[in-house]
Amino acid sequence: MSVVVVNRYRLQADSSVLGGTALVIIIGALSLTPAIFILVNSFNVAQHAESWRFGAQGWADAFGNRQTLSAMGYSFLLSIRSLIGIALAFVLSWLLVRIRIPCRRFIELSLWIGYFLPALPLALSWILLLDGDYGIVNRILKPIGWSFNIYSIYGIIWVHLTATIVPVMTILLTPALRQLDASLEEAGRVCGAGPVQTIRRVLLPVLAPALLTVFLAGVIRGLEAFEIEQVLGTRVGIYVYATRIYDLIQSEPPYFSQAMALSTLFLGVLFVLAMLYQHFVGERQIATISGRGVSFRPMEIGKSRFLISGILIGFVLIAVYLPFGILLTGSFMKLFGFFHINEPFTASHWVSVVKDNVFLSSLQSSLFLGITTAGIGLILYSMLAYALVRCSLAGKKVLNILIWLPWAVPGILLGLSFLSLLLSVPMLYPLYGTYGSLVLILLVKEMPIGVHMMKTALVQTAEELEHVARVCGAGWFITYRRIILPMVSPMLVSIFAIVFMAAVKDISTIILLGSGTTKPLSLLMMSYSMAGEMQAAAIIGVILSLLGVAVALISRRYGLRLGTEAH
Amino acid sequence: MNIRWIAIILWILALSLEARAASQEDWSQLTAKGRSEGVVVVGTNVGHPTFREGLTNLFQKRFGIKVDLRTQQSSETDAILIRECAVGRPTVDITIGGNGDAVYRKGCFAPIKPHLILPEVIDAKNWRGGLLKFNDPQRDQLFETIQSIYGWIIVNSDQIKSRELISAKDLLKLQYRGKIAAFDPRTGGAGQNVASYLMHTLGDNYIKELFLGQKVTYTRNYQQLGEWIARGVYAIGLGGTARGIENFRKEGLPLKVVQLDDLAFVAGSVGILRLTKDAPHPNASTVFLNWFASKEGQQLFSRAIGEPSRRTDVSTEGVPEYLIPDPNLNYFDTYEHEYNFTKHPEIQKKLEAILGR
Repeated sequence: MSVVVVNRYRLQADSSVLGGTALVIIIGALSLTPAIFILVNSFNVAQHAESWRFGAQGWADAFGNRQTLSAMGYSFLLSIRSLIGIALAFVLSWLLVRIRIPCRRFIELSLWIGYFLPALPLALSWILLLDGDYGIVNRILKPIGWSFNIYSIYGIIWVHLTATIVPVMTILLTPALRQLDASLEEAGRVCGAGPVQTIRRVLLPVLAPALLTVFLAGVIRGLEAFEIEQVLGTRVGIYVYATRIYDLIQSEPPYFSQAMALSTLFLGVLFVLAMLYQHFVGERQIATISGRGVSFRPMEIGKSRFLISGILIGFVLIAVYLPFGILLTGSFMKLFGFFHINEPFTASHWVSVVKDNVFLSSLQSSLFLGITTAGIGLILYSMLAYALVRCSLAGKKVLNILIWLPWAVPGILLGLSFLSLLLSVPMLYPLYGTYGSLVLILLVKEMPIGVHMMKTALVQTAEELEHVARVCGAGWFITYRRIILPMVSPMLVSIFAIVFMAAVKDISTIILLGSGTTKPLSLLMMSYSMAGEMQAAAIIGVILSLLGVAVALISRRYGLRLGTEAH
Repeated sequence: MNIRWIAIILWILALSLEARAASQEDWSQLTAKGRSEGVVVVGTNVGHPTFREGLTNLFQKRFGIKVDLRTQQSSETDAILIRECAVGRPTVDITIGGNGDAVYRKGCFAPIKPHLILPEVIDAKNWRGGLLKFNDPQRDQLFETIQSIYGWIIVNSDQIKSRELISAKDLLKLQYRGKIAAFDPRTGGAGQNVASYLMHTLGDNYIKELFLGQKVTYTRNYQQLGEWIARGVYAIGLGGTARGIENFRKEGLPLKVVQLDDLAFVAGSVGILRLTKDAPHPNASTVFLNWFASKEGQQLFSRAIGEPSRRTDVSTEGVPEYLIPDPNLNYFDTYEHEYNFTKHPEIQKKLEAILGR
């Protein structure tokens, strides 16, 4: 008997080592390839007809440039938006989930709409509102001596907060709060703690994994952002790190070794942040859904709910619907923002977009790409997250860090590394120019957020629920499908929507791998932009957003129903 | 004697008819081979819907060859070409854009000249200056089909009166300090082309006095530059493009184009035709090259991008007048290989040193 037990344990231990090693190899290959590509090519100083020459000139030129230090400074300064964003998003999420307020569904949906709107056209809308010379809001406020300058650090932070940070952070935090057993807070109140103390001493520690994941995601993504900074910052000399990388790649000739040397710094920063994350979160598991019986009842706060609801509605009206309204109005104008020309309004841009002979095929392409990536991603990320949370795997700590790596690589360089990979590896070459290559690269790109957010959701679910199912004779797959997935369905919905939207909006990552048959709406939007047809480009942006809202509503309805049945 | 001359003339005529018939037969055979290949892959940074639709309606329908059009920034196209060339697996047949220095230097283009067979294409009389223009030293790879005037500036006509600005030196006047905007000359684009030309003709000190001394404001969006001038936010704009300003001009906004006496040069813009080495669809590529360089192809392209073709038989209707070179004038050509391949990189380095990057 003891020999059998020992053999079983050895088999389990061997399986764990094998399984862990296999996962590390696969994930490592996908995550490390772009990182290694960048590191190696940062030392490639080949000129003209040479294919490879080792040298450190790229590093010397990149970091010896005085603009680089200035750009680094601005990037880290602007990172403060992630701190402001997480605080705002937490408050918003808590109010939406834990308090019964009127119109909370409308407010939540508005934040989803805000996230789906395209960032660059929104920035142009804010310019029309807040330009110091001709901004609509500034012209209204001029008589009382007020003025806001959109071309400033504050302007950049404001646009980021409203266009991306607060909406996406709220979308990611609300599922974590939805999975919180209300009895935890009730216990705090029963012990005499006020709301602030309850939040500080009960909620924040319990939600630490989710909060840290979302914050880290915000910081990393923020360091990569450059479109809004380019439009709002160039005029006043604000250049960020990502702008410099973009410039180097777009130069004629492109300075790839310098761009990759600068990107390597990203890798270093991400590595440090990932290590700190691992240190603070580690193996921490605080289950908020267990087998004891759970309550998700929101709190009643009396008449204050109307005031809170009013404030939140005011926020979404200003942050989301005001620029969206300008964007939509602008799409019906001959010239965006010029109200005083002869017959300023026209539907011709909408007609020309819809009648474009590639519009329908691009729309189909976007839907296919988005749904395939999000669907496969959901399965892969949830399984990977499960393995990291529930299984004893060798190399788990390494895996946790490796999963963050794709975010350290700017989209265009990620595309370049995959292009080289597909061209060089015969087994992978058939994927080149097909949807397969696009789905693969998008899955890798969104892996950090998908896996880590799934982990936070699984950590909140008590293991005993699975044990009960096993005891009743259910195999792993049935337990996973019928117990675990419904429990974490709110997070699944968010991840699906975020991955879907990332896939349909992406340009820089997929531009090098596509072909004429795989042209989604995002690349059509870029074509219009390059042709100087900004209204048409904005219209595509609006259509993409409506697409995202539709998909989010459908997935939310299905996901929340699944969750309700489970709870 | 007369009969002999008549016989000689008739013989020459017969030969030319036979040659013409042979060439037509060659063309027919070529288009049939192209059709069997089925597709030609074209990379370009020209995303105009007019161009895309024209390719379908004109080229595809006539020759039965599908055009797989890949619209990307030049740097992205170049990155793909270089990597595919390095492993010997090209997927793009033809690219239309700038000179593509980086790709050219890697030896990834093939000569185009031997593939040009249509009489209307190889007849030099149909091209400006009586020549088919190639920008590479071998004169056979980088075929320039479009040529526009650049260097013009844009002004807000409410703030700048006509003939107030005559030469580039006028831009240094104190009254214009803080009132000039430019497409960022530190990054690739029309702004850098203008700055490079100014440095080449007027020297380093001029660049310092203009861009630094006059506190020029930069933008990296052509539309934004046009809008700033149209709204009067800035009085003068440098490094603009037609697609960034024409919409404002058409609506009668106070934006005017001014040609300074000493700031005018020509450039091939986005109309350089390049054939990839070992193109995957060689016959379809040849058909496309000849069609694109023909009157029909050039008419479509010129109209789509709003810039003048180098062909003399292509109408300039719809092309802004400030882009059309005067055939009686000699302009400095910034796309010519000696400047573009040798002098321009040196000038770029000096610009970076003065303006930073």
